[in-house]
Amino acid sequence: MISRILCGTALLAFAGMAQATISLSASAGNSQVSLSWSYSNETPVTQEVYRDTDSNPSGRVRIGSVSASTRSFTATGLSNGTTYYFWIKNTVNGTATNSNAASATPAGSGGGGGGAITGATCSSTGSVTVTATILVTSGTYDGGCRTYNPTSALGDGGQGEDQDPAFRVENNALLRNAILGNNGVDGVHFYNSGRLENFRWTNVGEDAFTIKSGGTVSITGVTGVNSEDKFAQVNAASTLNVSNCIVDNAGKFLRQNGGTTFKVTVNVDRCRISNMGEGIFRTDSSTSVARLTNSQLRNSGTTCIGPWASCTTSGNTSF
Amino acid sequence: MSGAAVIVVGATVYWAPRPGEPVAPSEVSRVAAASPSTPARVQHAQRDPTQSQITATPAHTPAPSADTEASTIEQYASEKYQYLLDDLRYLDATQVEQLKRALLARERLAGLSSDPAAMAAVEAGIRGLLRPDDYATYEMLKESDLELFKLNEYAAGITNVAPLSAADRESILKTKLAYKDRFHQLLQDSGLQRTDLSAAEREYAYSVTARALEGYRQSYLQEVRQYLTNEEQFALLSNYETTEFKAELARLRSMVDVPVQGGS
Repeated sequence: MISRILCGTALLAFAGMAQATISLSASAGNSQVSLSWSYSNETPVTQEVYRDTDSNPSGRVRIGSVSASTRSFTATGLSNGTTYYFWIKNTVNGTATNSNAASATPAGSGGGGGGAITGATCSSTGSVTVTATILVTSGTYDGGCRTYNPTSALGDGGQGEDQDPAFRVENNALLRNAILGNNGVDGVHFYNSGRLENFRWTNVGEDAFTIKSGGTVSITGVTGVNSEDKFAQVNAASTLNVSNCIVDNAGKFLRQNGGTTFKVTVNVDRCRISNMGEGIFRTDSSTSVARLTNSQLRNSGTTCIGPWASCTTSGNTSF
Repeated sequence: MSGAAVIVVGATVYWAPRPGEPVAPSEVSRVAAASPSTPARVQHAQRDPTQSQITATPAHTPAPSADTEASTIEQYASEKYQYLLDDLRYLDATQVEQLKRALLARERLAGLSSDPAAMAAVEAGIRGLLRPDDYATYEMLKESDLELFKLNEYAAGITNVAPLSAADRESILKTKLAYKDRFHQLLQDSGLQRTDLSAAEREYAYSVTARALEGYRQSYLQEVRQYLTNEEQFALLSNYETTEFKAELARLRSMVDVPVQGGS
């Protein structure tokens, strides 16, 4: 196979043919990404737009077809905080040319600069009684903005460490559009990566969410109030990306499990954080890294508590 | 030449399916299209401007075998056309195999190398094997990649709560595809995708299309409601699809809001 490809490459190279290219660029907006592209040495005929959440084109999804004269496209309905990759494929007489992969990470509008930070936007559409942890082990679970009310079988929403979570999200599955009711139990647990979008804790229990095993957790468009201790708990080496959040009245925004030395990377962007009893980020690990950007802060205590390898802030304002 | 070799070996890895990757939507076919005999693979190796990224791939990284690629596309085609293949009693075993090969060829062609003549030939072969109503099913399923992807997302998300039966999945997919066809026809008629409309005309086309999209959502969900006996299955489907349709409406809106750019 390789020899045939090489042969084709060499033939064209020796013939001095100009390479056809499609140069694609992407710019992020709030839940959307704007694409624009241009051509060299090729005439656009059948143009298709593809999207994926990684840079490997295998598994990408066609999200649109555009006319030959079009050079821009806006991909909408995207998850803030998630990095998306896009391609343009042009087909001429049966021969396809793909653009470069252009990536962008949509994010909620505004931030410390004065724009809106919305947090969760759900208004309750009904209620669901939760008698056992809801497992979201793959795919997408869409709560439709219903309020999920755990029973005492899962816990009482106090500071007890033995409570069960209302949701357990695994393997980069997506939980979106839900409200956790007044018995917050142990919130949401993440195992091996996961995503959370448009989620409201009306009364955080033991904590809003816990990263239980390694991976990347992406959280966007969330609101959580009244955590007596911490909002986020991180119990494993992992990366946590939080954007467009509103967190009020907690001991601290994030706590890496006490006494642990593994590395946690935390990125918090465009959040409104207020009334932290102790502060925002706390760790005992000298390898962990935290960034707080474009956020609005009020009575938020000490930003970096503990021996962080790096803990930086930029673009934050008081409100 | 050695540099070119690195590029091409890297490209082979870059475009190949990843081990353990779930069954993917339409682009699996694109990967499978990159068989040794497919000219489009050569095009990618030459034209992909991400070559600098590709060269970073270690030259010794083992490329997946042709068998692996074939297996992946076969698995995908098998799922995509499952509802067609399940009920073809009038075909003998040889004809069924012939049909499967044709469907596989179709998926390969639908990927990188969209060769209209070759596609027409493959489709003529498929038409020759199928009764008209089954050919209509084929026509419906061949453009079902995104719907199948979304069905899989939804089904996977509820698998621990209210798992779908095979019959549930079939009902949901077929119902959605039927209404999607009607919507797409209306979308074409609306002119929203044309580039020569005035702002007012685009706005009008959008309003027509938006109404049609909402009609599509409501009709599809109302019909599916008859098939799903589990309340939570339907509630979660309705939640999932409502979010997805909102996103599609926003995408349509962006076609009105973002001026179309002409020229290259």
